[in-house]
Amino acid sequence: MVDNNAIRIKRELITKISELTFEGRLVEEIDRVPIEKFPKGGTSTRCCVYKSRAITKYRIMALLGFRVEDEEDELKSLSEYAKESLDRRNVSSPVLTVIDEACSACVRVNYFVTDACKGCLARPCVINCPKGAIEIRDGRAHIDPDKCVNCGLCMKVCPYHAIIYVPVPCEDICPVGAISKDETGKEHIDYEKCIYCGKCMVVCPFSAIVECSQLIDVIKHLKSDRKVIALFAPALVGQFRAPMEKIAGAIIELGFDDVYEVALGAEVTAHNEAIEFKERVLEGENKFMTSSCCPAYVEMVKKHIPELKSFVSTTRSPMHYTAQMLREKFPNAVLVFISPCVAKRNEALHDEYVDYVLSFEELGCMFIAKGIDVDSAKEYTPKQRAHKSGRGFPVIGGVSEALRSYLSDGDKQRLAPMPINGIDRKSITLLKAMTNKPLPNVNFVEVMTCEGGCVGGPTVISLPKIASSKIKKWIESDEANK
Amino acid sequence: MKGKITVQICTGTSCYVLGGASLLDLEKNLSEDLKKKVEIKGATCFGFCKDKKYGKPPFVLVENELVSEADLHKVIKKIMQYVDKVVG
Repeated sequence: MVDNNAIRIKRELITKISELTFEGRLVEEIDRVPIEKFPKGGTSTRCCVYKSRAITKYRIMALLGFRVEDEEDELKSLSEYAKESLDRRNVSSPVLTVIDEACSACVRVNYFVTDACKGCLARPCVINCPKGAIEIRDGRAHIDPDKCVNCGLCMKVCPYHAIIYVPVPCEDICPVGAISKDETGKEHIDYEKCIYCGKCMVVCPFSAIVECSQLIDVIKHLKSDRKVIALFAPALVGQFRAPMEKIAGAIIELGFDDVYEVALGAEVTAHNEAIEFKERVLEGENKFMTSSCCPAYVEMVKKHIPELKSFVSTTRSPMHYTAQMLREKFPNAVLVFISPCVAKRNEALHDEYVDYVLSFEELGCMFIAKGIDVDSAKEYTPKQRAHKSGRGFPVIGGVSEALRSYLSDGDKQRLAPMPINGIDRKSITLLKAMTNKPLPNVNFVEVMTCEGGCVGGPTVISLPKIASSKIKKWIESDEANK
Repeated sequence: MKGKITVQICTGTSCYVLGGASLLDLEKNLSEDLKKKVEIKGATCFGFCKDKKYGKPPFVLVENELVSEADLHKVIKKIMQYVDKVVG
């Protein structure tokens, strides 16, 4: 959702690049975009328009699918990058990139002496600092960033509360400590730790972390003769006020040849997971099982909690099953998954059936670029209707509910689910502890990395509570009309 | 002026994607007093996005006055102008 300027600027840029690509003017006009956005004599949010233009150039590189860290020649024009993006056959990892020019390198240490400091006689900050990192100079305390170890004692002892804690938003929100400063003080993602949840991207006030987009690849295929099929995550229905059939119709107007609900694959996931749950937990040795449809969670287990792996269900995700089914039906079609999730990009790169991933905000911007208003789109009903169990996946609790619905009547009462509604360092500690000491009243853990479930994902358009409410209404009214 | 001040937030696709979606939550940022004086609703595309002279989306109509490139601050400022008119 756009509750800050950074997100709006990002979406205006996605819209512009989409427009140029749809209209076949990308290679010719792309180098002008940074200049149009920041004309001479205009305002800039940085030191000057030239810096803003430089950062915009990097943003566009990422929109074209390139990693900023891979830049070798600063003189390589956007036009050259655009040509490469239009010619390439495959997209590659990783999925997030840091625009170090945009990173303001927030702070070196988290404690800061404000003007409230009176340079008092007592100077408890100096006396209590275990590293001797504080000195009084020009009547005020100063923290030496080379000596400070972020213990926070100075803040606790200051009688004027003059010392404050200054967070580094991306570092604070990352649940796995994958983002930190390099030697130049700029943020840098360690891809051996990164779970691709996208929280850092959402939270950065300078929008310095961006996705490597597949926008160009998708639009190129939409303009070609190949059959292109959209597979949309059920969370999409919460992203616009219009009914699902109008959203599907708008997708067709973009140039997709067909649209399918990923809720169809979610039914398969729930069904398989119910069988696995019965075998492994109700009749087997496992004290509990966790869901496996959230790709950032699965990545987190792989990289950070390997001891939890044996508790995670082996069922594949809704995206996988839907793509598998469509690949069988349409072996030569291009399959594009439309998703609120950054981690799905990574899952798709390793999935043999999905070709591309488009985020919800990219889809929204493509609608704007083509002048499509969802409310006035011609309705289109996807050929296969999904069941409410699959459609409930994007809201926290939906996966457990679906699992319950696929268990036999006798087994339903034996399901004791627990949701993990958003992953942070605390929930990781909890999950780790469960491998040694399972919670007595829990035998199924539904883990959603994003708070609220997928409706709270990093690239959503609607407020999660509005999306959840719409999805629930959609499910209820559709069931009534069956 | 009797009745509440109407605030219509355009939920046409352009406006919605570029900020209208978050503005729907506007009410929680109003004081209790102001909440009683205002009626907030979403509206389908007004068509302002079609002509550049109206400015950039997202668009919000406070009574009949247009707020372009709307954000929380601008909308509340415009609402306050109407509140002052009623009181004054």
